[in-house]
Amino acid sequence: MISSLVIIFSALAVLSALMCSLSAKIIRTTFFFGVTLFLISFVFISIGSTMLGIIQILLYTGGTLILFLFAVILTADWDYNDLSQTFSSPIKALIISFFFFLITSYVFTNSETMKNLSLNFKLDYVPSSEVISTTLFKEWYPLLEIASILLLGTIIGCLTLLKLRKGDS
Amino acid sequence: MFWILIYSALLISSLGVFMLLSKKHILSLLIGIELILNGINLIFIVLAKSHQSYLADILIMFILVITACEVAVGLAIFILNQRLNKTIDIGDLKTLKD
Repeated sequence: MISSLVIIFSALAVLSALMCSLSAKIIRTTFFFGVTLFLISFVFISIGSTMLGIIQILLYTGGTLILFLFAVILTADWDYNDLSQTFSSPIKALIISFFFFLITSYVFTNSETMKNLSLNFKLDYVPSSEVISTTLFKEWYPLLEIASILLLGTIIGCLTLLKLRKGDS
Repeated sequence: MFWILIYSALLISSLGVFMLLSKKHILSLLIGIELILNGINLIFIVLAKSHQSYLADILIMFILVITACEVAVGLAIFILNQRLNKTIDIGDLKTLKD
């Protein structure tokens, strides 16, 4: 049951990422991007990382989608109408991304480490939220502080950028 | 199951690379970067499941923070470029420094 759910969610995530990359209008691209993020969160939840999946849905997907939607709304009059206008050099990009997929797949498939890891893969290992939170706040708190400083810097940087007007140095 | 998840993650990352290299709209490029990072997150979590470790959950939370910061700064630059230069094309981004 869980295995089939994981397969369905991952297949749908790939499909929506494909639709995202082939949409001409930016609003459709944003919509399919949101769907992809939700489906990846469902995959996380299905394989046992419930806390991470919920954080991804509540904080990351919600926050990122709102930001993207505001950007789309603010620039609503500026969009491409068809696929020929959207792409700059699609054939070159298709070849490079295909080779990227081929090379990474080849490396992953032929690696002994990955073969051993695939034998150890189990869906029944579910870490509790309590264990993750305790580790986060006891052992990884310097990273937590760095993340908060990074977020503060981002807020200040974005506000400074958006205050610029034509002619400002 | 392991390989299905790994190949799904690689496909999502490859589609992100395709978007990053082919699209002209700046928002599409940001979405391409997001897709690449989400594919990498999926690979991390699958490998952590094989190791019976929960540290990937913590690592991915920090990756999500960095990704959110990157999106916020990218969108600020996008809005600024559209306001100053009246364009959404990545090719015209170099005029922002003038």
